[in-house]
Amino acid sequence: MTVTNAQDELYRQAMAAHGGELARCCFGYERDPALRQELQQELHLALWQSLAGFRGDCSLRTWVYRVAHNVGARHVQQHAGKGQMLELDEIVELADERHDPGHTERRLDLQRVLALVHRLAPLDRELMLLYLEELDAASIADVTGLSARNVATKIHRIKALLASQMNATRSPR
Amino acid sequence: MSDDIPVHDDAGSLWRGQALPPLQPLPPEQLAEQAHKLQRTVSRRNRRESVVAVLIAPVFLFYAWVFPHWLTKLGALLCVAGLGVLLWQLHRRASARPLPEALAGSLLGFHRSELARQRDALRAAWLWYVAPLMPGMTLFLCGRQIENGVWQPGVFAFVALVMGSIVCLNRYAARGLQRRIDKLDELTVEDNP
Repeated sequence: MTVTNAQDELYRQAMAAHGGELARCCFGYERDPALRQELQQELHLALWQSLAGFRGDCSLRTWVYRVAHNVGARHVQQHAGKGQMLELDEIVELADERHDPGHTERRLDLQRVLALVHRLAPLDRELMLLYLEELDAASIADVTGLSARNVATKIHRIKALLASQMNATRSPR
Repeated sequence: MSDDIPVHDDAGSLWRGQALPPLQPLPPEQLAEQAHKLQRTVSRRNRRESVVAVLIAPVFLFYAWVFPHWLTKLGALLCVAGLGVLLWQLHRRASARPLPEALAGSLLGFHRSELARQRDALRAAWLWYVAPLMPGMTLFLCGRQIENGVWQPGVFAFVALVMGSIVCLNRYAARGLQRRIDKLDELTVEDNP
């Protein structure tokens, strides 16, 4: 098999195994349908090009996630104002401020999860998306490059953030 | 999912249960065409950056021809050479974009290397941006003042102020990037038992 064929084959494998996760990843980084289409094209190209250098040092899934999130983060930096993005600590405070009666009956629906995701700065957004995709702590550390301690701390904050949103929706008036 | 960090069922299942069509692979021919298109776009952008220098260079060549004093002529020619160095550096730095494989590094690693690349370019701005233009500018201004027979130190002070400001602003921006790099590095530190 030639290098190009191997690259094409890996690309097909990656898309067959992770096409769904990649679609959700793009949704997590770009809300606007036209820009999301653009992001998807960037991702296809970046993944295909990067796979020429795949030597099996990590799993194909880890490789795919890394490329997808790096492309997503780059896209966000190119298209969004920095001032609109928050870190986990800041967004937890923001969520607490919403514990007023006007918000208590809100359902935690996809829109709210998305709204949270889209307000996060790239690294925290990646963590949130990986957490929502059900990756374990070791895999998250592998994809992000964060230390296990920092993954644990940040996951704790993500859980608190999601729980606070749930409590806000369930608490009686 | 491991037991230590259970996914919040509602949010996680909502997320994974979205009715989004999975991405489908594109034909390799289309990907290859896109790669060529991207390369052409980068080349066009690099050419646009060169246009400014190409427009300024003839002005200094004209000065070298018109002004009588040898110092002015030499200064003008050095300015053209300085612009050439500046262009080469711009092109070299623009070409030093990460390889596609670099995208398969961790987000932290990729982001850090991008920040470090920008920081190094800003730190060295005095060397690749200011220094190539200074000899030519200095000689040109000296030559012009000799030709005019009027000594005006204020002109030199103004040029020094502009160039100094460029260096200071770049170093200030580099320090900001270094702070961001330090913050990222803290996230990779493991706990000592």
